[in-house]
Amino acid sequence: MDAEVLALPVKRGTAAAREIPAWTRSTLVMAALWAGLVMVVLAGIAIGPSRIAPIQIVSILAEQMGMSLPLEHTTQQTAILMNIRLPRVVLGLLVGAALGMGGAALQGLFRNPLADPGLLGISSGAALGAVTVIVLGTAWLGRFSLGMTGVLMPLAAFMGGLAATAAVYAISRRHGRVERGAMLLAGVAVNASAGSMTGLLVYLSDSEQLKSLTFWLMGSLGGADWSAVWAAAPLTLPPLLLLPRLARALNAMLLGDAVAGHLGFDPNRVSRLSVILVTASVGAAVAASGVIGFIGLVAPHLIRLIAGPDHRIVMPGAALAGAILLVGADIFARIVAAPADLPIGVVTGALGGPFFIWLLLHRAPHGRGTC
Amino acid sequence: MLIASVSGASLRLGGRDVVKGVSLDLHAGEVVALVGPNGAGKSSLLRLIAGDARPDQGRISVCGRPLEGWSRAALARCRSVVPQDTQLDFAFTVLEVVLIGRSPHGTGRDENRRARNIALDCLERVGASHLTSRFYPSLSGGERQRVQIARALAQIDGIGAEGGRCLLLDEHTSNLDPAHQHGMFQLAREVAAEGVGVIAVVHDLNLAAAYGDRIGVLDRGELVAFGPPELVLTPAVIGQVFGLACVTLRNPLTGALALATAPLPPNPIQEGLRA
Repeated sequence: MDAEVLALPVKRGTAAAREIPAWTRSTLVMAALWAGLVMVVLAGIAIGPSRIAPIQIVSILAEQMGMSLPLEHTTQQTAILMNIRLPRVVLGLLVGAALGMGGAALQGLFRNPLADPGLLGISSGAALGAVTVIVLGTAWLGRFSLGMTGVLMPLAAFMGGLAATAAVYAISRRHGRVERGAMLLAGVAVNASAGSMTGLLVYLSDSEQLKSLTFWLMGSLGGADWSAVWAAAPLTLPPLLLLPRLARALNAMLLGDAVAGHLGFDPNRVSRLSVILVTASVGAAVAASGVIGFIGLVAPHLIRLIAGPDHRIVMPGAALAGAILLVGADIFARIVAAPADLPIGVVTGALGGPFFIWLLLHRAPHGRGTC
Repeated sequence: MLIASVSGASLRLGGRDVVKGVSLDLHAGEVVALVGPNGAGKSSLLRLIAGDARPDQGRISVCGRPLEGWSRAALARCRSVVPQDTQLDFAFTVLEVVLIGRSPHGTGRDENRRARNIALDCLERVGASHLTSRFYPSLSGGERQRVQIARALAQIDGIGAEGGRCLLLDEHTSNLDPAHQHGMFQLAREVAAEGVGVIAVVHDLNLAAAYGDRIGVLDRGELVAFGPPELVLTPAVIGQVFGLACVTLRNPLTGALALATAPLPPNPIQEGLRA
């Protein structure tokens, strides 16, 4: 694909930015992101339909840690904070970070700024798995499925995502090496097939099922509880720690596989590892929250725009940015139509689309925003 | 010191022998220039020496060890390669690109400072200091090529490799103006003088003659001549391999071997047959 067409550079005053040494700039960026993360987490647990004052939040959290502060709060407030808001924010952090870092890794791996985790078939496969359970679950499993949907759906979603990515991977494997150009095309083909089957199931669904699968297909953190967090954490956290270790190899691979090989990296191994790690983390994220678009695409772009394309900053930065964006979008989704929840994909799309158009309109021929 | 040795190396690709039974050696301090027509196997031979491809037959040693005995990471500390073209669309600065060349040497506060000094030094050697903080995608083809040369130099700079150091250049002057072509070959000579063994694939026979200690001529995968320019770049070899008429002379400015070439006059018998 033509990189000139795909690139999304942005005009910016680079001269001033260059005065600051690279390491100082990346430290500042990471510090700002951590600060943003803390703020959005506080906002996430403070904002909601039932009022809990910030000071009461402090006292509830203190109480959980065994300290008693002389401040009034009801047990109902404790329950809302500990069982509804906190798990929702934590799940949002995990999902957002997985999507952000997954997008960063794949954009680097495919040398394509438009790559996003959906490219490998993860989202469409997961969607097919989840929709299958929603639409056919009652027919196949009868009453039994009613109590099981909460477990079956994420499981089916995860397996569906895994199966789709495995198919993409198998199709693009030739002579023991994965051809990434073929992988892009195989991803398109697998996404189209899974999409048409999902479409058929949507067509067959009744109005009750349609509502719940719309929520799933547009993504939502509405069902978040601690069990969802514990299900997602073991698969999202290890990739978040391991993927940044591939940063230098991914930097070298931006110069081409041959050059990366000359620099002592094994591009095949790095490709394989990144695909496995991204599939695990994004698969678990999608299973937990449904299909949430744009975070995986926008978060890495934002970091490259500010700090440059070095994966040692882009990967952790995109994880933090993804977490901030997702928890922020979730707050918005909760309050804009309160007490109803909006699907979170509606929010990320509504805000992400215009942002991307802005990027397109402000592109300069060459600059930090390029990709 | 022997930097690289190739003995009886063959490589088949797509049912075609792209390299056939090639043997050559490279010593520290030496620049070997590989010439030959398009598709003669120059780049394939370079890929074999770089370890990008395994030969179907023959043995290749680089920096004192057979290629099979090297780990990728260890080899990368004493052998660097400038490929024919590199695509990079992500907005790294020129300095960052050259610093990627230091990847094989690990990280840490000391190495980072050292890497920065080496990178700036190498940029100066290729005459690209003024490009240091420019974004790589905004450079011209020739500027990119010089930055890639700096990256490859930085990779093997400042190390006392016991097996010696090796620099492989695949048409590293193809996008450069004449002044920079000479500049980059002078640089290759300087680097060789520091004890590095250099192999350069080059199309310009006069550059090969002026800067190569020895010339290897490849034709349809075979090394048909290998030795000092005066013995190898003869009218007979040029005629046979390139199908060109050739006269050798001395460059009046430098005294180096120079070649004047022209298409062979049409052969009357062949012309008659064609008619």
